[in-house]
Amino acid sequence: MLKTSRLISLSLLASGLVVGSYAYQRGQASQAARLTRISALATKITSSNEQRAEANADTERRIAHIVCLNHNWRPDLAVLTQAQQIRAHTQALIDTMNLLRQQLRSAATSPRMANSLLAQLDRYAAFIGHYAPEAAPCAGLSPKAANDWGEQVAMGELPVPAALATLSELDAWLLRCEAQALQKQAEKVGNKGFYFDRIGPLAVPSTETITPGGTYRAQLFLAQSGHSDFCNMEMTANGKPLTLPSKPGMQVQFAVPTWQPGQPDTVRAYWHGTIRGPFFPRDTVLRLAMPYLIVQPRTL
Amino acid sequence: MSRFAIFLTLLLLAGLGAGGYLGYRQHQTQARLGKLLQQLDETLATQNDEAAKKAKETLLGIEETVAKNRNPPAELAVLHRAQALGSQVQGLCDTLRGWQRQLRRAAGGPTAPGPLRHPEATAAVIRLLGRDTQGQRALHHQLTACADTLRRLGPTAPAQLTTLPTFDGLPAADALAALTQLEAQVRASEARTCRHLARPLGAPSFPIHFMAAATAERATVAPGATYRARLLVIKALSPKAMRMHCNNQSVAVGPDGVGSVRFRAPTKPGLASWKATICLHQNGRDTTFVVRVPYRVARR
Repeated sequence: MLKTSRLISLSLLASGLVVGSYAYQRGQASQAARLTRISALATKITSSNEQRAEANADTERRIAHIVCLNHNWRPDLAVLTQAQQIRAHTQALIDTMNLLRQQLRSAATSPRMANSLLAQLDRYAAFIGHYAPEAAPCAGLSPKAANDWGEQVAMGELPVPAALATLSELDAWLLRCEAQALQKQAEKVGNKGFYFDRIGPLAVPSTETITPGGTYRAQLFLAQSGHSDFCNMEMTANGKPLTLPSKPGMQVQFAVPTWQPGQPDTVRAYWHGTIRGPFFPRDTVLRLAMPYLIVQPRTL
Repeated sequence: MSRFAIFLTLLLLAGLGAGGYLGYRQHQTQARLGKLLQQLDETLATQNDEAAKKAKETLLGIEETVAKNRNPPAELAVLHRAQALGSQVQGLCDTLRGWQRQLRRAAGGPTAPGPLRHPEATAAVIRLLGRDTQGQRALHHQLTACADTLRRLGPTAPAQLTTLPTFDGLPAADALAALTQLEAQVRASEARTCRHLARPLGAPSFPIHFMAAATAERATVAPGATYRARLLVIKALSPKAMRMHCNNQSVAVGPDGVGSVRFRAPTKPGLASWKATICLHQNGRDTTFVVRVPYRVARR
């Protein structure tokens, strides 16, 4: 009798263990499914984030463009500086998070890193609240939540994909705040003038003067002339910045090296020009290599 | 009672205890992941709202462009295709949102995105969207129709759109996230397709590019002397059918829309000029630009 009850209790225990391990397996499976879903959502959020970051960069460029069109009016310039600060602050935080991402992937997170992120997030929230007061606080940003998060990540209690997803969500919040703040800045610099761009032919000769009977060479363009696209350009010749304007364009002036004994009478040389400009909507650098001849005067 | 039995009992008890602890840990992680999933769901839902707003703006933009081009039939057809796609996608998204509201109500949450009281409930999901329920069939039908339209109009087929996820056995939080994810996919496909549709509309009639050009004062310079030139940037237009002339002589035009002018300068020193002509065909009209370009013939 006693033996039977012992047997029964033993088998009950054993079956409990079996049922428990089955439930555990099921739980692991559904946890894995949930993690996959979390990663999928994070991927979608990240791709939206990328578009938002691009749009924010465009907003900054637009502000810079309008400020330039308004002849760098001082109050407008202050607005632009603030917009640049907003972008820089956001970027700094995103850089920190990218660093944290790398650490998470290589499983080398320290609680210190998470704590420094928390402090930085606090500072950012205070900063951005100044420019976008109606920006909603981030769901995951409450100091307690962030603190818990840091501990869980450090202790390995939160799976890495989940920790990464939290960062994507933070990114989304940051970029939304940034967008709202930049939008406010853009509203401050209204476009205050009208700018017309005229279309017409433009000839650029290779030289302004020509020897009698020599060959005249020029490039002929159908060009759009206007003020609006040529704002804040930086030009250099042989790496030196050009400062003297000459209508149209900038003056290039440099000393040609003196004649060295043994040098041929005629030397073919090049100078290199670069033009770096916010050619709205994209920044580009244009490069040019111009040939010229160094000729001994007696042979001229 | 043998020692073996005691040992076995203790072993089983220890196993149960460890299992219980593991189960508790698992439950805790699952709850944590559930909370994170709901947060991500909320963020993605916000992004979906923004995508819906952007889709509306894109449609308005297409309408404006077509009106500006005076409603040519081909462009009107594009507009109607885009509008039909927009309303179909909106219909699908409304359905998805409708199911989300029902699921939320069943899982004890607010109808708007927010924390659920029973995020792990599976019964309601099976009842509403389980295999072979009316809801699942209707949703599948609508999704297939929408994917067909997207495939017909778009540049590439949205591969993952045609398959509706299986909702059987999904906890409420996961099912809600799956629906939000589906909406994000549909919206992304819609945006891609709309961009593709709008590409031929209102494109500038000719490509514009920025070019660097320079003019030297003289072609030659003595050793040790100062070289002088001007560096400028040109916003050049390159329409397809453009002809250029120099003194009524045809000028070769490169693929970048730049004409190379070249002629022998007169032997008489002094000021001279040449006549540049650019003819282009634009909006069914011929336009001719003429300009006189002065130059100087130097004394020997």
